[in-house]
Amino acid sequence: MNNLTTDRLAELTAKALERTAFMMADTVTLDPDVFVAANRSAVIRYGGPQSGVVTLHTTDGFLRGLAANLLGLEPEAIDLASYGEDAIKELTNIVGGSVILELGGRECTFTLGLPELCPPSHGASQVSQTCCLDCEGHLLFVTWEPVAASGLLAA
Amino acid sequence: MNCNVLIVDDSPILRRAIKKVVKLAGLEEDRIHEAGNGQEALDILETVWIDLVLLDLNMPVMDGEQFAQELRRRPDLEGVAVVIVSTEANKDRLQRLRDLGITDSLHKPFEPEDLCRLISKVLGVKQ
Repeated sequence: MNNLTTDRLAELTAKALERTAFMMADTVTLDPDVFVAANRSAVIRYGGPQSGVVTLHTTDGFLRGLAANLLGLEPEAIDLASYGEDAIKELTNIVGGSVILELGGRECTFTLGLPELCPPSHGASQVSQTCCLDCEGHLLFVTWEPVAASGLLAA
Repeated sequence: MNCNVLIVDDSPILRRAIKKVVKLAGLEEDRIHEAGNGQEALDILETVWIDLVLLDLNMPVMDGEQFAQELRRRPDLEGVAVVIVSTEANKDRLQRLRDLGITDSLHKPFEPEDLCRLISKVLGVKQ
């Protein structure tokens, strides 16, 4: 079974941010106290030879910056309820696709679900791996949780 | 550039971001069309001639592969170029899409310059 370290998860996320939104991110030490402050989350599930879940957790400030960079607008011009939420879903989709590729998706057939918003506590699991990135002053947490049972996307 | 481009992606923010790049490639705003899934894209193709479709794969209602299959059944739309813009990187699936007549593909995450170059290449060949 292919595996993914938290460092590699952080690298994949940083690359997605840099290439998609011109945002630079650095890995920082995960502080559980700060993690609970993340009030925006999105999740994507994948299935195939391995199944799992990738969840992104962040703050309004990060979402505003991400959406602004994607659209070429000032952060103050961003409506979080529309473009902010759409931005985190799209970033989750891209990070999920990168995780699949890392797990062997070029050769093996995986199925990627659609990204969806989720409650902030989603993904806080004992078996997950989580990395934390500082992206232009805002924190982004990425959780990868492999799931033993297959058929996550059967529906 | 006198070409019409259709951006098919279920993410409105990504459609807007891609639209910016398409404009940078030299297309006027009124020649850039948008659809949120494959079915919406087919509806637009009924009414507007499209030279290039920038197609996401992972979408609700009708995904990109289903759209490509529908397009292949339509001889009147044979000249439409389709470029996949997606997280998909599986060799077999990409080969299936090439067999359906897909022109090229771009893997997310991509840099805007990559997309700009690809648009120019595809539309340049068509002109």
